[in-house]
Amino acid sequence: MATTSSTWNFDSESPLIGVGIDVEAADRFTAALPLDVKFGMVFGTAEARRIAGVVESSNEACAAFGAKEAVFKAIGVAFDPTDVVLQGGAMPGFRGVKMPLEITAERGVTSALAWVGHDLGEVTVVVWLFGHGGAR
Amino acid sequence: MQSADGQIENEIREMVYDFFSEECDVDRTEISDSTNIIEELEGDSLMFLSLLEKVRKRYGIGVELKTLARHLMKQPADTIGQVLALSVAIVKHGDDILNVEL
Repeated sequence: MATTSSTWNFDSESPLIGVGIDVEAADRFTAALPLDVKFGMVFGTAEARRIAGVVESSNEACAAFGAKEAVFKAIGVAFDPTDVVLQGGAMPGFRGVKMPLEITAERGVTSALAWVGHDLGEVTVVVWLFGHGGAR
Repeated sequence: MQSADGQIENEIREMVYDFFSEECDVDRTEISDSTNIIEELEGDSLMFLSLLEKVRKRYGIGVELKTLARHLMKQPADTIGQVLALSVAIVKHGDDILNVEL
């Protein structure tokens, strides 16, 4: 994968089968749910630990939530949010997204890529799903 | 005399209507059970999570989001009426909601 500020290439052998975009205001996300709720209902233990260790953790938490939302928009079905995990990395930048076999097998997803960025207090996440497609 | 179930339903109705009216900055009179939350009120899932947390806190229930997600896969909640019915069912059935037809 090669990235610049305005263009990118993703060397995937599978076609693009879904795109999801989510924009969240970091302060709204922080205010909407208490910490113990976020770190239980929305984030799993390992994910919560990773987010807590990031310098700008409120932006990172917002990005991690946004990735789950973007995946939801891309596949169009509800899932347990703790199952879909944005991998660590730069912001702005490209990241991996971990998804459970239950979803990837059913939806024919072979890989997932996210772009994460933030500007003026808003975090944007774009998720691309690649694969052969599946039952919808 | 109103039943306990009826009282809870009315209380949750007030909660749901007040919540979306405030969050979406819309007058309560402009909201009805058939109002589509995303298309008409520009609501989102963060609002839904926030409402769910209020309901959980108010009634001391511990329904898991995983269970709720599975329920929503079978029966989506797009309108105020559907979210209301879902909220009432969560209070009444907790994690057993998966087996409840709304």
